[in-house]
Amino acid sequence: MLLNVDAINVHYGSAQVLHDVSINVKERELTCIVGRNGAGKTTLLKTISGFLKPTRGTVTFEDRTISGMRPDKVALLGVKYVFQDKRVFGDLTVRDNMELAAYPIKANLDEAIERLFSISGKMKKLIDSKAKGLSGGERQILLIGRALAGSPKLLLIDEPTEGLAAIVINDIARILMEMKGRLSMVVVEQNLAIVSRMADRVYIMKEGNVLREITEEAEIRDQAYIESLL
Amino acid sequence: MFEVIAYGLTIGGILYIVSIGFSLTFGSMRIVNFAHGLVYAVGAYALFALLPVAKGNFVIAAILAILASLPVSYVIEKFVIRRLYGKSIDYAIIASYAVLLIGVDLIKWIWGASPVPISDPVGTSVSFFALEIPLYRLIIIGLSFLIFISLSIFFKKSIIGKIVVAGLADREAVLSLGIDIDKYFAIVFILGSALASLGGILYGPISTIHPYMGFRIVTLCFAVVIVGGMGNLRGTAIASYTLGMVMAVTAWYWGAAADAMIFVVMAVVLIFRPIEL
Repeated sequence: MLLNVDAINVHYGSAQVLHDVSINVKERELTCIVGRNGAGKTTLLKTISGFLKPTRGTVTFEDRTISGMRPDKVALLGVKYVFQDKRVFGDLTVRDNMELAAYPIKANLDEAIERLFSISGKMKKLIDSKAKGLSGGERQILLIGRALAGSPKLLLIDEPTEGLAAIVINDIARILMEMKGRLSMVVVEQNLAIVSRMADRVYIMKEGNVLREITEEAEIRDQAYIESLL
Repeated sequence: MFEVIAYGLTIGGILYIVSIGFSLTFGSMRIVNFAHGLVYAVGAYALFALLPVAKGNFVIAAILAILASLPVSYVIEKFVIRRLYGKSIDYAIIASYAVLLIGVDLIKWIWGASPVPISDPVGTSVSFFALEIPLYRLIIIGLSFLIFISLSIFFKKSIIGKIVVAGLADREAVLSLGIDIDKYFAIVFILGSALASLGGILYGPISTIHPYMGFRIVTLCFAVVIVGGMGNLRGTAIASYTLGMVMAVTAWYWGAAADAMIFVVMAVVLIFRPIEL
C-alpha cells in the first residue's frame, strides 16, 4: 500500500471536521474522493499533505509515518498537493512557476518544462507570460505541470475541474486519464461523470466520515449509483 | 524648488532603503516589526562608534556598522519574530515595540540620551541653477536608486527572489512544492535589517542621531507600507519617494507639519483604499 490513512480525526479549533477517516491508496491507482460541500474532502487532502495535523490516527506513506510532518517535507517525499482555486504564482511567468517546482527537488528545469508541454502543447506559447494572465484551464494545467516536476510518487489533486467550461473540463479529464497508470493520484472531484470514467477506487464522504469505499468496477462506472450514495 | 526636490528625493531614498525590510516582513509574515526602528538606530550609533576605529573612513565604518547591526537583527528574528509567525498581529506589535523600547534604553545606557552629531563625510556641494546642493545628498539619492534597481533584479531574476515573491502571494503553495519558505523569509528579514541599518547610517550625517530616532522612522515606514502596500516592492518605492516629496514640500511651507502631512496622505489612502491588517 502506497498511502494509508488510518482512523484520523481532525479539528478546526474545537470543531471536529474528520471522524475516524481511513483510506488506502495503491501504487499507480487513481482514487477519487467524492462528497457534497463540507464533507471534509479538502480537509483530508490537507491532512495528508501536512497542512493540518490529525488529533488522532496516523497517515503512512511508503511505510513511513508522515502525519504531523511539515508540508514542505511531505512534498519532498514525493507527495504533491495541487490546491483548488487554481493557485498559481501570478506575478511570476509560467517558466518561473516551473522553476520553483523544479528547484527544491533538484529536477531538471528543461525536462520539467518539456513535460508541461507534453501535457498541453498550448503552454509553449505561454511559457514567458505572467501566470496571472492565464485562463482557468491553463492555470490548472500549469498546476499539474508544476506538481509533475521531478517525478512525484503521489499527486493529491483538489477539485481540478471546478469552475471550468465544459470543453476545458474534457481537456483536464484527458490529462488525468493520460497520467493514470503512470503514478498514483488522489483526486477530489464533484463531477461524477469524470469520476465514473477514470477512478480505480472511490471513497464517498459525508459530514466528515467515509461513508463507503467502492472498488468494484461495475459500481464505479455506474454514475447514478454513486450519486445515490451522496 | 530644486532644493525641495533634492531634499524630498533624499528623504524618500532613505525612507525606501529603510521601508523595504519593514514592508517585506509585513507582507511575508504579517508582522508589524517595530523593532526595525531599533536596527536603524543601532546602524547609526554603530557608525558613530566605529568611525574612530576606521580612522574616519566613512565607507569602511559604514560597512562595519552594517555588519555590527546584523547580530542584533538575527537575535530579534530568532527569539522574537520567528515566535510570532502565524500569531495575532497584536502580539507582534506589542512584542516588537517592547524590543524597540528595551533597545532605546540600552542605547541611552551606552551612549547617553543627548543627540550626537556626525559630520558630512563628503563635505562638498554641487552648484545647480544657482543652488548649492550637498554632494552627500545626491549620493544618497543615487544609492537609493541603485538599491531599487538591484532589488528589482534580485526579486525578478534570482531564485531566492522568485521564492520570496511567490511566498508573499501564496505561502502555502510554496510549501506544497517542498520549499521551506520560512528560511527564505528569514534571509529577506536579515537583508531588510541590513538596509535599515544602512538607512540609519545614511541619515546620521544629514541630521543628528539620538536614541529615539527609531520611533520616528518606524512610524514613517508604517505609513509607506500602508500607502505602498504590504510586501509590494514597487509600491514601497513609489510610496517612499512620494511621501519624501510630500514631507519636503510641506516642510518648505510649514516645517512643523512635515511629518503630520505623511499621515494625512496615509489616512486619505486608507479612506479610498482600505486594507485588512
